[in-house]
Amino acid sequence: MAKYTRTSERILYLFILPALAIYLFFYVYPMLTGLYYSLTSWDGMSKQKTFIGIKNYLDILKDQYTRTATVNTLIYTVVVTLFSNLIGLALALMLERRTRTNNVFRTVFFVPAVLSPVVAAFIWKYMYSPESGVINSLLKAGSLGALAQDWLGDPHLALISVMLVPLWQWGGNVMIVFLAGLMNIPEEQYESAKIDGASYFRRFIHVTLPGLRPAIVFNIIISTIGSFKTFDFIFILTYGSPGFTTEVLTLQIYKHALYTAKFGYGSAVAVMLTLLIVLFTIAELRVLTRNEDSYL
Amino acid sequence: MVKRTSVPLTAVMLLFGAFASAQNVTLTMLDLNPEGAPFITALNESFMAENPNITIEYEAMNSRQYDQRIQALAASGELPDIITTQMFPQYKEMAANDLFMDLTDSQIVKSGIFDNIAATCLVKNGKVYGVTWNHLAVGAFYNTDMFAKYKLKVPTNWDEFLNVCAVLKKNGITPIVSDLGDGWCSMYILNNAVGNLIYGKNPKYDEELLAGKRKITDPVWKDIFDKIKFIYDKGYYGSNPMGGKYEQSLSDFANGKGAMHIIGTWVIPVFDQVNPSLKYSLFPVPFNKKGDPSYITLEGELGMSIAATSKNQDAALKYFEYFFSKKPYTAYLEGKKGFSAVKGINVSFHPSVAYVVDNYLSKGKTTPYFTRSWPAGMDALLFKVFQEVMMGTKTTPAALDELEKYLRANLK
Repeated sequence: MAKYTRTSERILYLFILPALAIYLFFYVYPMLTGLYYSLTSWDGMSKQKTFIGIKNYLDILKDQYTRTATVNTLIYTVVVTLFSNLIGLALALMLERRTRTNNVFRTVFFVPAVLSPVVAAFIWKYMYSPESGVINSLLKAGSLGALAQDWLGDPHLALISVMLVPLWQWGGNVMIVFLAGLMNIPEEQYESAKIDGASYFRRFIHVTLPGLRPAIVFNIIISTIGSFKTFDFIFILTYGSPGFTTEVLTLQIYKHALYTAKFGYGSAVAVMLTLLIVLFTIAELRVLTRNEDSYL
Repeated sequence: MVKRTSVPLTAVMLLFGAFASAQNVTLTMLDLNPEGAPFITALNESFMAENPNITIEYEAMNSRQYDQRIQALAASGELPDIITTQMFPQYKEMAANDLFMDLTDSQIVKSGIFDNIAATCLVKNGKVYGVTWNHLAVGAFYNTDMFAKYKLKVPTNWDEFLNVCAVLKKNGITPIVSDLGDGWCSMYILNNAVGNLIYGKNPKYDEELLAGKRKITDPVWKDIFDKIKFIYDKGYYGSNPMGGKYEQSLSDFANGKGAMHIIGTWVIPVFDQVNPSLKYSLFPVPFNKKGDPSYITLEGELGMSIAATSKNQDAALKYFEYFFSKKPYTAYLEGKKGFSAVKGINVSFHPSVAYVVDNYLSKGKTTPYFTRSWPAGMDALLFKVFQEVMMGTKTTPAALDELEKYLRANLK
């Protein structure tokens, strides 16, 4: 009987082979190919791919432009992750009760999430236009012309202006996850806290936040990964300009792989970005799931 | 019986199939020339009317995405049959990697119809990989009514140019509406600067630069950057040059929101379309001192190559021959307002270029693009550091030092 079970288990393993083959071919193989390219001096065109070991990685350490792009990417990731979650949480708390008005507002705040990032970027690009954009026009119409800025052209404002776009687009998305999380918190916990005399703030700290932990973990991890990988917003809005003020790692990968004929170097930057994402995700999971067994 | 009839039937079908496939060809064509797209489209239609068995699937896109798309298509072996190419280093890199068909021995190249600029547009290791459609001139387009209103004459040296800018600004006119937010747009004032201060005096400068006899850190480059930084700091580029965009800047000039636009002649159809009553002309930005000669930038604008992997090379070559034959090429030039690249075919010049034709082109006072011999990617770095210098976030010596290092590190 035992022998029969072992044999049937082995046969069952065969059933995962097709899925495993697809996974290996479409996921593992491209990653390994990218890793291999990162160890070559391939220009992206020639048939010859010369193996150069870790030279590309050593070059990254010396490359001031990749360094600047890394710093910008980290700033972008931290700010967008933090604020998109704060905005999403605030919206979810405000719109938690199911009323007709709240339903309308939920839809309004969620609509940007439905847009393609490219479309969103183009909308904001026109809104930011210093001469004809709606932002400066409204400021001027409201006698606040002194606040009108060259939003994407001022080196001190460009990155901030770019970061506002994903906040606008992702805030509603984050809100939806938080709303789902809020619905899972038992009402009894709030009632008990109220009977114990807990204020709204204490109920938020001791009931809402612990209850939202799975949603917080999910939102922060997804926002972090999405922010590290950001490309379309910056490509459309600034293309990394002015100067290197909005240059990010994904843009560097794109330019090296497809413009400067340094595909190998671009692949090395891509591998570095992947490692950064993995490290950040592990660190966040460790911090956010401390004393919890159920999430990992 | 079945066997007896099936053999000839199969043969007939094969013959028919071979005949049909030989007759019906679809040429794919990718172009980075939205401004010239209507004229290429018209030419394609006339070609297809004359060659009903050849269909051209034409797509034009803007330049920011074009280079990258071409390289991505090249990497995946999916280049269209006909590709718009330029003289820039990344295209020479592609040519060196045999991505384009070698046209050296093709009938159209051997016929010798092209002038020197066109014939050297995309040459690598002595082989011709592309031919130029037409040439362009680069300089400052100016609103002639505005100049007349403030009694301004076409400047012929740097001091006169500064005076023109100062008078315009004093009268509330934005002197230059060119945008610098799209990095590549900065290339055109730099072309005039390098032409006047470097190439005009030393046509062999590129050879000497690549050989290490000259450096980007030489004083002449600092002079160029400092001169442009001066007009930037004076506000002659308007209040938001870094936040502006190319398309908007063209519209601004055509609608009289500024007096000058430093760009190439490919924009002439756009100006005429946006504002048919606009009166304008062109002069090279005179970076020269009083008494020194000045030059205008003249370069092959865009050209075309055939993918080395194309299965329709014969049809593509047929298209090339049609393109440069008298009637279609003349119609194209008249629409595009470009300068002819073919000996013996000329069209009447657009009125806006009469000044540069009379004073520069006809006298051979022209210089080429300065990035022709640079390594791939160096122009992109230039655009970035140029912006940084203009914004004051980087010093000119630091920017030039970065460029020099990039040049030496990437020379092959």
